[in-house]
Amino acid sequence: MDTLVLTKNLNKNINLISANTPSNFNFKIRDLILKDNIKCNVLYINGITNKEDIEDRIIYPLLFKIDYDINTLSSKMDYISQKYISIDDIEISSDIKNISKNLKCGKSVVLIENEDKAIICNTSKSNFKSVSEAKIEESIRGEKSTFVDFIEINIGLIQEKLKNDNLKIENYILGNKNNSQAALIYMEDLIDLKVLNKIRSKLNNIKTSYLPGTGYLSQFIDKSNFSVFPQTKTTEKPDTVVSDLLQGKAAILINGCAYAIILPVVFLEFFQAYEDYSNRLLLANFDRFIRILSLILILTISPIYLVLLQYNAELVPINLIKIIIISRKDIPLPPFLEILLMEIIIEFLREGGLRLPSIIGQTLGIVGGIILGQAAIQAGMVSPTTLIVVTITVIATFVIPNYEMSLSIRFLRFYILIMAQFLGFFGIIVALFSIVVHLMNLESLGVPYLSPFAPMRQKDLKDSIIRYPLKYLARVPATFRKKKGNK
Amino acid sequence: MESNKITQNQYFFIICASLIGVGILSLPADLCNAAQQNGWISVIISTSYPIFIVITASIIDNKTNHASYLVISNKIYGKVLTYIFTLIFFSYFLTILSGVTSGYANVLMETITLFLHPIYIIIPTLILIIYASLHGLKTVGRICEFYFYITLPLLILSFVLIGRGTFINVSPLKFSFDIIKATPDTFYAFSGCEICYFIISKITNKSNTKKAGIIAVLLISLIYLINVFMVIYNLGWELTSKLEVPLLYLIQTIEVPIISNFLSIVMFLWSFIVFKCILTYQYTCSDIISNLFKIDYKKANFVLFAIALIYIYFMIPEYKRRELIGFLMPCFVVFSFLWALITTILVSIKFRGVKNEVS
Repeated sequence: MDTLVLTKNLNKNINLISANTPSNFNFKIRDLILKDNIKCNVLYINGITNKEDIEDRIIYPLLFKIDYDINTLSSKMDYISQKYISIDDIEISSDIKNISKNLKCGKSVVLIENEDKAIICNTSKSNFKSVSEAKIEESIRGEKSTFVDFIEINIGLIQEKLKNDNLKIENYILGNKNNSQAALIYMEDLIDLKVLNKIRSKLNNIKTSYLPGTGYLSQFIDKSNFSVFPQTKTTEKPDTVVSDLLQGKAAILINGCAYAIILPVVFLEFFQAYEDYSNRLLLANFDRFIRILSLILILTISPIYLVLLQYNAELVPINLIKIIIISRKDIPLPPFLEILLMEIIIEFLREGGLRLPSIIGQTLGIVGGIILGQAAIQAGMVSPTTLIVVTITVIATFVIPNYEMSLSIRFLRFYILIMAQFLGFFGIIVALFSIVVHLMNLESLGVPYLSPFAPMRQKDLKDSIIRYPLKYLARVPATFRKKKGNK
Repeated sequence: MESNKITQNQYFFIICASLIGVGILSLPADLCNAAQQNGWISVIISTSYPIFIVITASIIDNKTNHASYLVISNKIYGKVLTYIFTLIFFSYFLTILSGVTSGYANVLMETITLFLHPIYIIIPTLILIIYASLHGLKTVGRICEFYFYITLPLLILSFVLIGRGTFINVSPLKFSFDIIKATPDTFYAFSGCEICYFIISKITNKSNTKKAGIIAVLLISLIYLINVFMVIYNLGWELTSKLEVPLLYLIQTIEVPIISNFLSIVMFLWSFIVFKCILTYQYTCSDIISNLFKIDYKKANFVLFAIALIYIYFMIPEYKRRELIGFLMPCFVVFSFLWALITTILVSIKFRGVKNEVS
């Protein structure tokens, strides 16, 4: 197909650009008459451009600062852009598609009569939210700033923290209709080329009309879409991205999304937090132990409680079973429905709290958690021991540092609970074994998800369930290390 | 790495997994019946059999330049004999698979799932194993490796009771013919490591497969030895010989605060040992069906499911399982021993001078 280019006819040029630009009411064409009656037009889309820049740095100098007969010049556009337009980012182009694309990005276009070129000036508006404190990934000693909705600021935040010549940023346009700008960021000397090529291939082969954010993108990258486990990590913090880049991973940013996705990932890193490294060794290891314990509790405490009540009461010491039996007196629901009911109500509160403004969300938590729980006990719908068990599960879910993983683990507890109802202890065993088998088969861009446990990588065990002193840890784990031959 | 390739480490763990199933739970009783307080010595003698198997597997693999079992067998015995021998091996592994699954169901019904009909244990177990096996040998290797570390403390758990027993129970120590007589009983427990003939050619980083196999066998033998010795040391041979699963009886005596029955936790972890054991046979049997009858490996898994389910059904009451195993196992062990011996000799003659290339 022939490339559409500008002609020497100003009106025709305007028509050509208008035809390739959305005919919105906010598409503006400003007519100017320059020195010696030279006709000129400034084109821009109102709302996404910075009007002050257009007025002060383009229109004003063009109208009042030109003191030379520009008709005598052979390269008029170069001269004007160099002498009169005080915008830092300028491009001269004659390709209509390129001009139209830049207009949609908030840039302004200057056309002059008898010229088949246009000056594209970056006047895009940066009225995006400013860098703010983390809301989801709060940390005590970690960095407070988070990503914003504007990709260039986000890239800047990373570059500011990682001043390294090997930091590479590749530009992509994703989504056929919304044309989101995306950036693939990695450390050239650390990343495994096989992984990098897989990411590039995935990004190049995304066929969708609309890709607004990282949540969408990760689903196009994930190999196992039916798995409950996240195969990429989402973060709102630049320091997390920098740390992961230095471990040989890659990050993807999308314009308009205040999150980055990190890939490839392994299961264990969803249970690690910034404090694991900034805290004293023993305290950090204790925190990790608490998280692993919470994982076990979330998955097993309700099913084990159910099995003990329903099938294996003989396994509970007599003094404890007495308390449980007394608390369950006159409860009409069978233990399975009682636990399931409470678990589902908790999920209602969680989902409801998420959608509501934070103040109302807190109220909902108090009303739901305390008042509803108390009322349910008084009404004889649930027993106090069941409420304790379910509450422990809920509290334990907040210990998992990653939101996506916490959702996955919450979901899995229903699977184990149902298996426990049908098969007792054996059901819990089968469910847990099947989850581990599934985890063993999962891969994130070719990296085994359960690494460093399966396959066992002894060097990476130094930073797994326990952490060795920082001086003994490899900056790039063996799991993500550049493989020999992948140059 | 392809889904059907393993590392030498994973080979080590698969051999370990294939050697421990439910046999260890009842082994002390069988040994005490034949050799009284000296039953544990039989374990040491029996170790020679699995060591022989892993050494011959390594020799055959090296001499044949890492060719697969079927290729070697076809070259040595021809198609008809290969077909017959492979079917015998298949029956052998299927018997172990069914024996371990039914034994597991029987033990479970006596301990933590008294309310379940055995079929509700067997079918989910087989489905679970198929799910794991469908992903190929790589996953089997990973599972065996992962669960080995998790379940290792359990395998030497009986050692914590060392302070409770008495040496009177294992005295007097005398070498008699009874010890030799008891040795075949251990073969059932040690049987199954013949799967190494089928997987050794799939190792990617062969540095010393012989060493890996021998260490795996010695490690498992040590675990068997510790358990058998600790049972006799604590319970005495008379009581041991009268119990069906003396190891569980011994573990049941361990007292842990809060938990009124420690056995439930043991069975919880023991299940993982059993699952990985069954998984190794599921993979090998499916692989044999797939190669022998030229059907897709995934379909072979489901074919095996149907066959195994019927076979297991006949083994459900414990006495039937013991009868069948007691009758078939010695035959299979003799066959396997002779096959290994003859094949090693024939391979040494036929493949003499073939340059050994490391793949």
